[in-house]
Amino acid sequence: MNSRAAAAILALLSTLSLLAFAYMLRQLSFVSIGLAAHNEVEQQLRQSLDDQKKLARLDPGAGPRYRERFDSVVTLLGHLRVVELNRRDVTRQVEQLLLGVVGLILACGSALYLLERRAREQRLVRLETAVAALSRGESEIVLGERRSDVIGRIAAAVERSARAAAQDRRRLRYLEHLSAWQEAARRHAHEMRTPLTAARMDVERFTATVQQQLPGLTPEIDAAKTSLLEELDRLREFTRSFTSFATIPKPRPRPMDLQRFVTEFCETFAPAWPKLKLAVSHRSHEPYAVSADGEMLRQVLVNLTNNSALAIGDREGTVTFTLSHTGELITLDVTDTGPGILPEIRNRLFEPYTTSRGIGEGMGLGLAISKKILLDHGGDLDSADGDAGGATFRLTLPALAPAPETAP
Amino acid sequence: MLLALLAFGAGGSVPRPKATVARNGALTVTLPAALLQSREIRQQLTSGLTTVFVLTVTASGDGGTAKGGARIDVRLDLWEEKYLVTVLEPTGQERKLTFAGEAALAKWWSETPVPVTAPRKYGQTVDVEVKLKMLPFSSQEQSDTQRWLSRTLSRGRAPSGEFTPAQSAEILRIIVETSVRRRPLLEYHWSVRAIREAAR
Repeated sequence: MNSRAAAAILALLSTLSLLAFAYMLRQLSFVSIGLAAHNEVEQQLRQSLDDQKKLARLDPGAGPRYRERFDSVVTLLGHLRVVELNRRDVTRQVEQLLLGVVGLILACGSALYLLERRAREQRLVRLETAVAALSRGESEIVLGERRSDVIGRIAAAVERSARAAAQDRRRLRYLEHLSAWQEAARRHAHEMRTPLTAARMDVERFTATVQQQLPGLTPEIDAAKTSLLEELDRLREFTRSFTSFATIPKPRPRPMDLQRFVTEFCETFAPAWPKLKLAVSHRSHEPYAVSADGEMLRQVLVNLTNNSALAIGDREGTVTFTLSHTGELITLDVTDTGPGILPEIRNRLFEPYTTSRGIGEGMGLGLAISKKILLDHGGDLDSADGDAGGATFRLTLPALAPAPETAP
Repeated sequence: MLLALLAFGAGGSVPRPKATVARNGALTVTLPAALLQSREIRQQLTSGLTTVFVLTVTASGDGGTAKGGARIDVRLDLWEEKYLVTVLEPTGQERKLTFAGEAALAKWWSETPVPVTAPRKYGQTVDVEVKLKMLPFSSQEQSDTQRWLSRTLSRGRAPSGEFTPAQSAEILRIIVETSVRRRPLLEYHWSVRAIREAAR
């Protein structure tokens, strides 16, 4: 039904209601006034007048009393006659008032209905536009629906879908990007591993030969050999890092209580960073059940805590692990009391080989590996500003749905 | 209103009033006795209420145009069975008369000229537009009835101020009170030529 038809039906119904109401009102008012001004009433009152006069003549002593009654009846008769003469005016005014009130109610109701209908159509148009945008792959969809009716719920679902799709696209882009870096690292590691092994063997063989022929130079040759092997070890460690980054294994998740896991991590690994205090904070007494590969998750926490320790330096500091539920996700905020993330690297923090440390002090692969691990778990790793000015990294993992209860 | 229209339409069947320029220069109107014989007026006259006749005239002729009028209140005293008449003239003078019965009233009505303008100089020919309205009750009776309605309709109200259906109808009470108005029950309109009263 279009708006015009709805408005016509509404107007017709309103008119019929008003007419029916007016008819009933007229009948009722005529009955009520007609009763008061009925001919029989007047006749009885006039008869009463005659009676009073006769009584006064028969009993002159009580004349004033009868006269008083007589005057009262005359006054009443006059009032009734005036009301009778104004019957139509009184009825019309009452009708006009009540019809006005009913008409106003009907008009307001109709206006509200039409406004609501118009607003609903506008909301539907906005929803259609949003759904079309969603189908085109747009991610910035904000409908701003505050009502919780069907349209409001659909709008909220569209917004959620757009956000989820945008997040999936970001993850996909990141993983594709990371995959390219991993392939490059794998090739570098492969290319470097063989010459490094050969070089190490050559150093061993060369020093042994020289020592046989020049026994008097043994201390110098040992020192040179040690120095060369240390450099080769560094290169081998460098290659191992490449290999580790290139071959991040698939997680083997198992259900776990994340709060318990983090608490155990803090207790076990506290001695590794003597100047750091590791603290656990949680905002719910519910278990933080997730499905995760404990070893890989531990690697992430080690990476993050290690970064915090390096950022804090020789000072004493605190790393706080804060757990919370956010909808269907469980978040773990890792916040330190360090100087925070440098603004110049904030946007590419999770790209491989991004580091604020000097050359030779780290490859800048830890955060990339950690993010990859979280993405492989269906979660994410992101950065945020800490409340106290330090760095905060937020780990998100899907909450594990509680197992359905079975009947005993 | 319907009655008034019918009366106006039937105005031609009622004998015309007589307009006279008195010797002192005042214009007078003598109303026809047949008016009092009409059913509506008889019913009204015997109701005990004050029937108000409002007479307005517009006289035009060689001497210019003059407007004037008078008011005649007639009330039957039901105890004494006498007609009490008050005539308010354009000069502001008020005359009170008493008639023992309907016949005496009709005689006075049809024979007594009622001054409708103050004395002035009229031309040779004076054409007079006469309008007569009959109001069914006086303004005093209107006020009395409004007060009576107010008292009667307010009797259902609780003195403690608690809500009653009668209280909710307060607005209706006010409307009923204010709806009581004086509207002409009959209206007549005649055009007559004034005659001059013979000099002594």
